[in-house]
Formats: sequence, C-alpha cells, structure tokens
Amino acid sequence: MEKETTWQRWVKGMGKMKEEVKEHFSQLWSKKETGEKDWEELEELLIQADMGPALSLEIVEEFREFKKSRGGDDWQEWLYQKLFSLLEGNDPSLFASAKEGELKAIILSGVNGVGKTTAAGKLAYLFRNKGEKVSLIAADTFRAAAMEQLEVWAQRAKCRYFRGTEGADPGAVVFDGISSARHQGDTLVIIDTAGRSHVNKNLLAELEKVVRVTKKLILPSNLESILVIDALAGQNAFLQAQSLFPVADLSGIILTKWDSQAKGGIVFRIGKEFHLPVKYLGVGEGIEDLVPFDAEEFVKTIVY
Amino acid sequence: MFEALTDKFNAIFKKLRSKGKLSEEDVDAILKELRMVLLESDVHYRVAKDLTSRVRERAVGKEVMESVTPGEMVIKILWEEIRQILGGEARELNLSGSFPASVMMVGLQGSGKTTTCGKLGVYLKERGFFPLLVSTDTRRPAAKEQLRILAQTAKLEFFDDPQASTPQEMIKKARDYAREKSLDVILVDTAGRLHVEEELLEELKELIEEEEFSERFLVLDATTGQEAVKVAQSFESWVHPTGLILTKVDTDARGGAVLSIVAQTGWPVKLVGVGEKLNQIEVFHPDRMASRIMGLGDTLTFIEKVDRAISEEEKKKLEKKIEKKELDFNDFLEELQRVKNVGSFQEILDMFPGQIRGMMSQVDGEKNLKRVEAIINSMTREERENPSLIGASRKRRIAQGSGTTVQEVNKLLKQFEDFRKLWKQMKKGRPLPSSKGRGFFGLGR
Ligand SMILES: Nc1nc2c(ncn2[C@@H]2O[C@H](COP(=O)(O)OP(=O)(O)OP(=O)(O)O)[C@@H](O)[C@H]2O)c(=O)[nH]1
Ligand SMILES: Nc1nc2c(ncn2[C@@H]2O[C@H](COP(=O)(O)OP(=O)(O)OP(=O)(O)O)[C@@H](O)[C@H]2O)c(=O)[nH]1
Ligand SMILES: [Mg+2]
Ligand SMILES: [Mg+2]
Repeated sequence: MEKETTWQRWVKGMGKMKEEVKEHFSQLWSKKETGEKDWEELEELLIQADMGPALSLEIVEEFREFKKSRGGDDWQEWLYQKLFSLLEGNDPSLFASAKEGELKAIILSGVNGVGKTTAAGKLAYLFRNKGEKVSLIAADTFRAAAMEQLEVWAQRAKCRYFRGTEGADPGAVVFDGISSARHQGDTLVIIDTAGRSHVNKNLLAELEKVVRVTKKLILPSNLESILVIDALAGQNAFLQAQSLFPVADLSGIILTKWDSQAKGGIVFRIGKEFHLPVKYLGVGEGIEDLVPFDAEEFVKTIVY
Repeated sequence: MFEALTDKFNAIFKKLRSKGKLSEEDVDAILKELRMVLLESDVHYRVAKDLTSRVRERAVGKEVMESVTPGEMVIKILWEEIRQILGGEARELNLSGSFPASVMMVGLQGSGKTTTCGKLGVYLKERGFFPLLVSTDTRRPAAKEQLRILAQTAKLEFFDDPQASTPQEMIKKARDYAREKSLDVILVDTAGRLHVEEELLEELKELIEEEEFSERFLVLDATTGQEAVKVAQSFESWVHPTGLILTKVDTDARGGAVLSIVAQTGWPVKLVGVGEKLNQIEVFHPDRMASRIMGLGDTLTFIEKVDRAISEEEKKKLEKKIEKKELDFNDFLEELQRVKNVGSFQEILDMFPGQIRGMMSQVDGEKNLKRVEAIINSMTREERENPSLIGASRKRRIAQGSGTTVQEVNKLLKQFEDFRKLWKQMKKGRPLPSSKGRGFFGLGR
C-alpha cells in the first residue's frame, strides 16, 4: 500500500513529461528524414524540464550522433544509460556509514522559502517512525515565527524541540541544542537553519559557523548536510548549490515541491556537475509527503 | 558573471568580420549565443525564440560602426526589445474602488507573500496610508503568527478573529474593523498554493467573486524556472491577477521568469522585493531588469557604453566632414536621412554637438524638418555643394520642386549661411552668439 502511493505521487509529480519524452524520442528514432526543427523540438522539451540549455543540447547532440551511427538499435536503452549516468552513484540513504550509538545530525540549508522547515518536520517524523529519538533544533532565529513553525512540526512529529531566544546566534543555539539532545539521550538531531540568499556573504559565514560547531560535536560519518532545493527553481538552483557547497560541506539534496509537476530537470545538471545525490523528494505539505529518491526508478519512469 | 559573459561575447565578436552592413550569418551567430544566455536566465524557450527572431529582423542589414562591435549592436537591440516587453515607467498601485481598498497576495508556496504583505504595509504607511494586515492562511504552521509578528515589528495594524471559519468571513470582519478604526487599505495574505492544486485555486476564485480587491498580486519568486509560464496561465484563469510583485531580487537569479510571464500576460510588475527586511521593497525598473536578464548585471553600464559609443561615432563623422571642407547641404542631407531611420527628431538633435544642438532645437519639430529636407532634395548636387550658385531662377525651381515658397528657400539659405559662420567660429573656439529668437531652419514659424 505504501509503495503504491509513493509510486503514484512520483508519477503524478512528473506530469506529462514522461509521455512527451517517450513520444519525442521514439518518433525521432523511427523518422527517416529528420530536420533541424525536429531536433530543436526535442531540445526545447528538455529545456522545458529545466535541464538547462547546455545539458539539453548535449543530450540532443549525443542522441543525434547515436541515431546517425546506429550505435545500437534501442533508443530507450541509450536514453536510460545517458540519463542514469548523470545520476550515477546516487545513494539516497542517509547515514550509510554512521557509527552506531553515536549521535547523528542532519543540517538543512538553502535559500529562502524552499521548504527547509517543512522538510525538517517530515524527516523528524520519518526517523522517529524508524525508532530514532529525534530532536528538532530551531537555528532560524531570524525569520518571523520560524521557531513557532518548527515547534508545530515537532508536535506533529511527536519529537523533542529545542529553540534559542529570538535573534540569538544560530551557532550558539546549535551548540546548546546538540548538548541538550546528548544529555537527553536523543539519537538524531535535525537542524533547521534560516533561509539565506547564497550571494549574501554574512549569511554564508553564519551558516559556515553552524556547520563548524556541528562538526565539533558530531562525527563526520554521523553528519548529513543537506541542501534543500525547490523543484520549481530554474538554473539559479545550480548556482545555489555552487555557492553553498563549499560553505556547508554538502552531502545531499532534498528536492521539494515535486508535486508542482515542475519536472525538476535541474537534478540532472546538479548530479552531473556536483555528484550530489538527491536523497528525498517533497511531494506535498503533509508530514508523510517525503519520498526517498530512487534514481533508477526515476529514470525508468521517464524512459520506459 | 558579467565578466565571463562579456569575455564569451568578445570571443565570438572577434570571429565576425562584418564590414558595411550586419550580415544574416553574423547576426545568427550572435543570436545563437544570446538565446543560450536567455535560456540560462530561465526565460521560457518560446519567449526566447520570439525575441531572437524579432531581434534578427531589426539587426540584419544594419550599418556596422567602427567603435561598436556588431555583437554590441545586437545586444543593444535585444535589450531594447526586452525592456519594451517589461513595460515603460513604474506604475502606481491601484487603491480605488470600495472603501477600504483591499489588496490580496496570491502565489506558490514560499514565494514571499506574507513577507510582502508586511513590506507593502510599511510602504503604504510611509506614503500616508493606514493599512491593516490580515491573514487567511490557516494551513501553514504559524502562518498567522508570522504576519502578526511582522505587523508588530513594523507597528502596523493587524487583525485576526479565531472564530472566522472561512477567508470570506475573515475579510468581512477585517473590513468592519478597518472602518471602525478608519484604516483605508486592507492587505490580505493568503496561503501558498501550487498552480496544479485546483481545489485550492477554486477557493481563491470564490473569494474574489465575493469580495472586491483593487489589486490581486501574483507574488513571484525571481528564481522560478521554466514552469513560470504554466504558473501564470493557471493563476490567470482562476484569479486574474492585476499585477506582479517579484521577490528575492537580491539573489543572483537573473529572473527570466518575469519576462516570460509579462510577455504572455502583459501584467505590470509593480514592486520588487530585494531582501528579507521589511523596508526592502522597491519600484520596478524595466531597464535594469532587462540588463539583468541578459546577464549584464543590474547596472546599465554596458548599454550606456554602447549608446555613448554610437553617438560619439556619429559626432566624429560629422566633425570629420567639417574639418576637411566646409559643411554643405550634402552633408546635412546625408545626416538627416541617416538619422531619420534611427528615430525621432529628438534623437537627431542629440547627435549634434552641444552648442549646435541648442540652435537646432528651435526647429519646430518634425514638420519643419520635412520641409527642410524637401528643399534640399530639390537642389542639384552642385547647388548643395556650393549654395552660392543659387540665384533667383534656381530658387524658384527649388521652391516649386519642393512644394515650398521662394521665401522659405531664401530663409533656409540665409540661415544655412549663418550656421556655417557659427560653425567656423566654434571651430576657432569662440563662443557662439545668442541665437535666441532667430530660429535656425525655422521655416513657417
Ligand atoms: N506543495 C508543496 N509545498 C511544500 C513542500 N515543501 C514545503 N512546502 C511549502 O512551502 C512553503 C515554505 O516552506 P518552509 O518549510 O517554510 O520553507 P523554508 O525553506 O523553511 O523557508 P524559510 O525558512 O523562510 O527560508 C510552505 O508553505 C510549505 O508548506 C512540498 O514538497 N510540496
Ligand atoms: N532574500 C529575500 N528573501 C525574501 C524576500 N521576500 C521574502 N523572502 C523570504 O522568503 C521566505 C518565504 O517568505 P514568506 O513570506 O514566508 O513566503 P510565503 O509566500 O508567505 O510562503 P507560504 O505562506 O508558505 O506560501 C522567507 O524566508 C522570507 O524571509 C526577498 O525579497 N528577498
Ligand atoms: Mg524555515
Ligand atoms: Mg505565507
């Protein structure tokens, strides 16, 4: 039953994309005479999925070459390999090599309004159901009602909640939050940070400090630093990853608002350039609306 | 960013050998790159296509200049097209209609509606209004609390009634409260919703059918990608927004989404959000936005540079002629005809060196310019080079040929002579006599 809904949400989130991709590729494949216009249409389809102009062109040109040389007779196999290679090694699991018995931590960062706090709530629920003792730490001391928002999520997820005072230094809050969690015998802390524009140097420094403090208290193997990206975002999401990567020492991505049917082609571009695994997809505003990202299934759905 | 882009362009431009006029091939080569730039800025691919074909039409066949590369010329044309789509000057908020006026924010989750409500409150308060903030968001955790805190921080009036069970009811009660307290604008925050969530959009539709809103703003995140067009389509059919507020413009997102939406809907962009703080809201500048979408940064430096180079070159050409010999009617006609293609009379004037410009501006607009042109056109080549040849019979012929009178021809000749003298004086560095009341080329004044 659970698998079923997960699957349905996924497919729904992809909108018409999968039919269109299949249609375009198979038509082009069987067409004897292909004109520039045909290839352009394919390129546009990929661009529309926010794959970015360069990657879209790359795929189209390689496919064109493949068709010309008849390097094989199975376009689906080709496309599968191509797309999958962009997500190669995408391991969606968190804490694959975590040391048992040691406190684990997830830091969520990202630009404003992408869904960090919501993801924190969903993750708390998910891990509590897996038997972890979870504590949510509100390191967003800036935005109006950010802490209250996280508190509601903590109640929904039935987990512990730690907050500092308004306007407090987030690094200090994280330090206190982790210490308190350790004291209480929690096994996982989830740190919700404030939204920040990735071009704001002060805010980047603030995030760097949060990560530094966490690293002092948590083993590297027990830390996941997750960038939250909005599936509706365009090519700027790539720049976000680029600037937050060195600051937050990222280990993965959560792609939110997948239910918007925005295709999120940006994951391929990020996968290609940063090899950052996509861990989860946010598929709604409810507490259960978080789906592990399975690259293989994902690409299969597009291609087959 | 900007640096990288100009480097990239310069590399292409070096390859171009356009001499004389911009060729189709050269324009296409540049446009191919520019299309990539637009797509990289999240301009919708169809909008990018339309734009490049329009630019192509305008650019092919244009004369190549010395100090401006063909690439720069094409960029300038594209910039003009984008600015044109984004609209002219900033437009005022509409707060007419029912009293108190109501303004509503709608949009996707996390786009910045609640923050913008607070910002708009501050903005209006600074302009002498008495705003009231009210939230209809019962879905997002602590959404009302967020707006309440924002109102408190900015010392704005905030209304809430926990008993109100629907958005309609909440707004009605807020209206009563506003009347009672003599507040004149109600700023209504709504819950975020996706363009594919039909039940939630239906809810908004019912709301606008029941309550009058003088503005319904779609609050758009500047980082939105290709999906923006579908978002606009959907909101258009359910809510008919009256305008856009673009948020998060302080990021380095180039904001192509706003161009896609405006190109499609024609909605005016009324305000932009440039930070998280409540005073970080500004009026929209289409020209800056156009530069930004093209990856030229937020400044107009590049466009201004090209503009300057173009007018410098025009001036130099003119001055060169004057150096080599005396200014004659041929030069003048040539200038007239060339610049006429460029644009308005004002633009023609702007191309002349400062002092001359002052005199010329007394010409009574484009009508007289046409008559001047007609007279010069009726002269023979020799006459234009050497106006002293023009005696009585020639004057009559010219007047007849140009549909003007001998008096008008006389006047032009006399004033052209004056103009030449002034020109010489100016070259020698003497100040020009006051030209007040004399009206150079002032035919039929
Ligand atoms: N449809 C949908 N909405 C989502 C999803 N994830 C988050 N949201 C909504 O997006 C909005 C913003 O979410 P938040 O969790 O507050 O985002 P944030 O990144 O913490 O925002 P800031 O802290 O202000 O930067 C809220 O309305 C959420 O309900 C999702 O997967 N799907
Ligand atoms: N950098 C920047 N952040 C902004 C701007 N406007 C809003 N934000 C931030 O974006 C995030 C989301 O803003 P909200 O006002 O909560 O967005 P919303 O549309 O009300 O969100 P929902 O109610 O969940 O749909 C917050 O972190 C804001 O501080 C802006 O102009 N620049
Ligand atoms: Mg948050
Ligand atoms: Mg809100």
